[in-house]
Amino acid sequence: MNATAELSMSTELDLTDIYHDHHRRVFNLCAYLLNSGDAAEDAAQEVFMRVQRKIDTYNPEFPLSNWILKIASNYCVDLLRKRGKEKRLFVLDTSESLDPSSDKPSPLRDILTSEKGNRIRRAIASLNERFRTPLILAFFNDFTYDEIAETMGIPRNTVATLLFRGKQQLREKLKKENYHDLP
Amino acid sequence: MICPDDFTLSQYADGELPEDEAGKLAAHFEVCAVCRKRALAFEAETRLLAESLQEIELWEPEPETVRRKIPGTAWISRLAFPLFAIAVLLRSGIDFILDKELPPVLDWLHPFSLSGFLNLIATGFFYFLEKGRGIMTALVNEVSAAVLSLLILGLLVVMIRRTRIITAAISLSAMLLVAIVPGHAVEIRKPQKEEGILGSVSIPAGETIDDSLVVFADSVDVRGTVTGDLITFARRINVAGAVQGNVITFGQNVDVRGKVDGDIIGFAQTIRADGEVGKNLWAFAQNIAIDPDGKLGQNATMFATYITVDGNVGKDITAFGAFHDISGTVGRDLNIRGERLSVHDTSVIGRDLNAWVKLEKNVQIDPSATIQGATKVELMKKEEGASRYMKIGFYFRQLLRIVGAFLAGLLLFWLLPGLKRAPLSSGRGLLASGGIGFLAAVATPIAGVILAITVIGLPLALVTLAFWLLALYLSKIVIGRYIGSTLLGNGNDTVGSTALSLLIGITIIVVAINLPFIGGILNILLMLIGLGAFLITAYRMFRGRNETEQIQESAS
Repeated sequence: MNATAELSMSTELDLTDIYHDHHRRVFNLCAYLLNSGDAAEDAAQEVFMRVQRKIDTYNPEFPLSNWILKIASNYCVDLLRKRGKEKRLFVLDTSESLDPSSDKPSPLRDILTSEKGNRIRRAIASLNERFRTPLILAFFNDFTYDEIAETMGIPRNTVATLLFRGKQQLREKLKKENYHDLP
Repeated sequence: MICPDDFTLSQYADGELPEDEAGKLAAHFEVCAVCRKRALAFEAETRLLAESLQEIELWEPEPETVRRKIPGTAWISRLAFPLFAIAVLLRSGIDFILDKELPPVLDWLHPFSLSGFLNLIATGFFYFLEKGRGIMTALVNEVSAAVLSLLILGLLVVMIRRTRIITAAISLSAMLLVAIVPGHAVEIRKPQKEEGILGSVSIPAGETIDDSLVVFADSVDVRGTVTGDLITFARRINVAGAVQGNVITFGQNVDVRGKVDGDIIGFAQTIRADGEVGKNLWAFAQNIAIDPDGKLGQNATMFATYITVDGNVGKDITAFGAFHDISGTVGRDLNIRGERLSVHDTSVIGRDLNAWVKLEKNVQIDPSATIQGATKVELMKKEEGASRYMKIGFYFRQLLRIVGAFLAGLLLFWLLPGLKRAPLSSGRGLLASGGIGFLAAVATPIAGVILAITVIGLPLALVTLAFWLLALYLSKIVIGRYIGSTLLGNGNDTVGSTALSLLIGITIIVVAINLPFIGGILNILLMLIGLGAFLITAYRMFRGRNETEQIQESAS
């Protein structure tokens, strides 16, 4: 028996543990990406089925959680694509390219000195899928631009742009909300 | 160096600028306080985003909840559309069949033909005339026991709602309480292991089974004696011995040549009775024959394509078939409903002959046959479709229907106010309701029949069917209130507004389902959607408010 076979046997035994250790995080990622608890349940189940199928290809030199999150991200991004709600999902419109002279950002910390958590997540959930996806991958998964680019199948530059625009939109949403909430 | 733009700063804060570029920026920040401040703000933003996404759980993925939610919403809403489509197709198919004339041979299969549906009611009526009192007593006993158990169960559930295991245990014991009927010992026989289910079981001539016998096999041969009932599920069933109780059979070919003291109740392709039967024959088959040697103590009630009576029936024959061939002896009346009737010269009929056929020439009575009483041949008239709208009685019935549904609805919403939150406002909710409704409408009678044929489940099956009929009736009321309240603009939740929206909604529904042509389809669709909504809401109410909100949230 070689090392791979041993690994596969040991990992097979540990699949229940893997599920317990990572289910919550995978579910959260799916929920963020798909914006739906129901869909996330199904997606998480599917992700762990894939983990089980592909466990032989896992390279133990890297953290297991990263590997699982990659599978989950790929699956969800595929799902989003298939949904076809946004035909141009990850294609950047030229009219939306950067305008360096756009509004001066007053970054989030300034807007939200006391507000946290819920409002930000609500705002993220209300973002368009193509802005939401890279934000989640970057800040929930801790993916690098390159990893996001690979997952979404778009150029690295586009990732940078989408993230920048996404943050801009978040700021605008939160600013607006702030005016509503505060007297 | 000129000041970097926001796009560059954003990448810098994300740690994604190439090293040399980042180094240049860092050097720039040493000299430019404005840029330094902006960069810090961007970095703080990055941290805040990561924190708020990672540290706090937005979705509460309790594994148990996740698992239990799957059958509730996600799974069903995916099935909903196909199920709904099937329901619509089925309904259209039924309408199509209704428009067609089936060949007489298949007429007995036609559930909505006169010799199918109406006759079923007629026999049911005959059956109740004879056995009604016993059945009703039993039914009332069972239902009251069931209601009592349900009440106790409900009380306990309310008391110890949080402990699921205890609830489950109590539900189970309550179910068992309802299901248990006093009965005598039952012996169950299956073929030898090596033969599998396709083997045969035989009771040899000398053997006596001193209680009821239940047999599952490919073929069954009973030559010995059974002192209780004989209940068989087999392809070929041959009873040549003696059965002191009833014979209940489900099979392809059933041949009873022996002596049966009780009834024969048979469902089969071919049923042949050529022995001595103490009481009645109830037969549902393609071919039914009472052979020359066959002798029935009491009545024969038969549904079949071909019905042949050469033997002796002590009292009445009631037959619903396509072809009836009578040459034996009937103690009292011969009642026939169907396509053709031939009464041969050897026949002796103790009292009247009543025949309902489509054409008079289809009744052939040999002049030398003996008929002691009167001979009456009536022609079945075709229903005239549109004429019902011309009768006052029709409108009176509809009015009664509205009033009845209105009162039932008031009671329903008073008892279960939660039903007002029926999930009908979204397309997805409608589909899910329709799908679940279809499942429930189809699955419940099937489950009921399965329960019923397990003998011990008969009372439970009757209770299930009673609840099913009740739910079917209430389903349109739920929809009615929804339609009414939507039209009125569902604002306040007072008794008055509920009553008004109920009245308006029910009236609309009653008018809609009486429309020519589309009324039937509307009726079934509304019923399915209402049934589904009713069940979903009941399910949610049972599961408690918190989870309800969760589902509603995720559904929207």
